[in-house]
Amino acid sequence: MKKIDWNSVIPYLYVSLISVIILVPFSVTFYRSLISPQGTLTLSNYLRMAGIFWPKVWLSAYLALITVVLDLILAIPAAYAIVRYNFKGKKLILTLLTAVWYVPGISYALALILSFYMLYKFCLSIWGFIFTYTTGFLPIMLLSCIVAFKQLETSYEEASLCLGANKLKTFIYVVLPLIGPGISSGILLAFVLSFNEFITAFLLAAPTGIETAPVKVFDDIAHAGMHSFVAAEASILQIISIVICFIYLKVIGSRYLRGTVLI
Amino acid sequence: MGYLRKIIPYLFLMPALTFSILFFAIPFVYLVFVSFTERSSFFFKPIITLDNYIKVFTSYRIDFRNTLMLAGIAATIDVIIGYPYAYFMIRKIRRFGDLFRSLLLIPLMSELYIAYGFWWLFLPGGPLAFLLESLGISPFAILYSPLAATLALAVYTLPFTVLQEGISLSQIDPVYEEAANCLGSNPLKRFVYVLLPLSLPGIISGWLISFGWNVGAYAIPFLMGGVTIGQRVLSVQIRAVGLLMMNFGLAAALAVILVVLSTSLTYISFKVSRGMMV
Repeated sequence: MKKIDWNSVIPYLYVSLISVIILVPFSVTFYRSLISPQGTLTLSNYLRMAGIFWPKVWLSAYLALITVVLDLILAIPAAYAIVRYNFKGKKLILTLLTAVWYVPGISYALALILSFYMLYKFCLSIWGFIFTYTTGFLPIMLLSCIVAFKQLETSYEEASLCLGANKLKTFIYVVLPLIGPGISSGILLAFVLSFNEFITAFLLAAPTGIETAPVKVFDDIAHAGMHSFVAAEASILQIISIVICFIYLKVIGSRYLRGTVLI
Repeated sequence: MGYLRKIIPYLFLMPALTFSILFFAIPFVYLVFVSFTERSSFFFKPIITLDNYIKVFTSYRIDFRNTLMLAGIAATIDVIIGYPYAYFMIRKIRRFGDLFRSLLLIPLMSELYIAYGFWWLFLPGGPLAFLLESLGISPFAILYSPLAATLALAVYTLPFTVLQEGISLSQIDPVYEEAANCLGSNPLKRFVYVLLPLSLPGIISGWLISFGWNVGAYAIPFLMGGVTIGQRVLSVQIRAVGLLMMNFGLAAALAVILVVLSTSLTYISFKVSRGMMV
């Protein structure tokens, strides 16, 4: 019999154990969503919640998509300026742009609601969501853009400029295609996190009357948490997010996630 | 021309700065202002007062203490179970590394799902309740208790801690451990005298950043028994006071204190770890 080399087995055992613990909440919810009231395996929970729930999923996805597009428009020039130029107050500006990520969501949402109604005299609607999400997830996009620009050597841009392209052409035809994979991690994180954003959406739901999918899940948990169709709602959102992450990791891999906020 | 070159970076930064100032900086300054007012609402002129902060530290002292306790204990659990994880990921794991790393993304998606999963887990008839009942413990003893909230919070913020500890550990040259090994130390001694002092900044910043995120959590403390009087935390109270009782001044004071707690600690943690921010 071969002797087991514990030195190489224990790390895998421990890391697998932690991974299982991380997966427990999802697997329990998913298991519950497959159980019918009679205790048999069924998919009827998913059919039961479909009519009310899918429009809200689409709303969440739509908001997340707008967030990603607006964040890209804001973050790419900002990251370019931060990496390629030296100017006064760079550190202060970077702190201002990224600070919102480290502020608790509930305080941020309260500040927005108070200032929108009492200071700006602006009635929150779907725009409230768009502004909040865009500002709230700008740091993630910005950091991944900064990492992407830092990894890009300036020699490509110099070559393009030497060959007679102007700055705009260089940016569109050389810089943007090259940083594409780098900023993809920012796109992934901004999309998944804003799709699942709960606390700011929850506070904004009261004044606006717009309910996104995670808020609907929370309301259902509070009112009818015992029913399996709530578990179906929660697990469909998680499955969508996990599938998106999985496709990203299959297509692009995890190397661009390093150096950004999370991994 | 020189003048134009100086202004170009600010032009690039303009759109992002506009959003940040309009929807982040000004609202926050306004939040701080509202926290010093009484009876501020849509119609009345606000009265400047310090009452709100006095109230936070008297009537809401229990919630304040609960917040610190839950977040602190969860952060400590994170540091302890996250340290071997980060160490193994950096030194030992070669195969399936990407898989394990991507699994760490799952808790970050939303605290709501973790709260719901743990709720099912401890519910009578759930998988863990069965085990507890066979040990003679009522599942309700755990479901709506601080213990369940602490465990759920620990799972929620584990990735942040692992990240901070991992950054710190990856900067340590394996040569130090090998040298200690050659000089005849056992693994325990190697850990206490070599690894621990070198990775202390990572441990501290991992604890602080985890604490900062725990303090801001809403769904986990709420669903794990946060509505019981005496078990509420600050974030649950902010919504109750602000949007249900419409006492904007007090809610703003609570929110400002929450921001000070969470953001200042995160800032210190980056100072300690000299981490990836800036």
